[in-house]
Amino acid sequence: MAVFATVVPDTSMQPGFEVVSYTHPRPMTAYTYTMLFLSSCGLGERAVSRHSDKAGTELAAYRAEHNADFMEGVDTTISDPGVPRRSEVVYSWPETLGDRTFSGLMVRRTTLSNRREQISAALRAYQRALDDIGRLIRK
Amino acid sequence: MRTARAYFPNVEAPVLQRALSRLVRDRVFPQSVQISQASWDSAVRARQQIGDIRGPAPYERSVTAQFTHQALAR
Repeated sequence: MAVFATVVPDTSMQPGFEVVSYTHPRPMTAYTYTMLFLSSCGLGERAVSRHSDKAGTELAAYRAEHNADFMEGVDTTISDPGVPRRSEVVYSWPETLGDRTFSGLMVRRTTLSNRREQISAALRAYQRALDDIGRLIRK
Repeated sequence: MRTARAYFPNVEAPVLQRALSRLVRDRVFPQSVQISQASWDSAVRARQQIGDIRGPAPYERSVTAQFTHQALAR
């Protein structure tokens, strides 16, 4: 049995499945990308036993428990030394996906008409933050 | 680093530093608030593939650029 996790697996799980996946509930991003990853590995729905759990239990708990064979996530702290000892990053979503939208500022259509200045202000704030990040990166 | 430490107080500084380096190396941070059609379509295809989105989600109906030019101009 191989265990893929984006959340901490249940340690009382019983063997008998080829692949067990523990991830956040659908339609959270972690769920979507876990399923895409498993699919890209040739593991279709029938090959995987899927379990969902709440968000927010990712890396820290994984490091403590270390009871999964593979972990997938978009957590900031997933870096080569950020994963548990004796583990390493073997797959990069940015390398695999290229330019892809992960989030955006969503507004109602009525807000688009009625609160234009607030929307502009929010976007300016985001852009300033991105500019600051860009400046820090170039330093 | 200061901001990262505030968000992840339990993560050791060297780990955070390397995590940030990885994010920069992989170009995770966007340079602007603009959402390109290619990046939108790519995200939608992924959601459609998994079944999160069953119908179409065309860029021109879902994304507006009317505010982004203004934000970028300042």
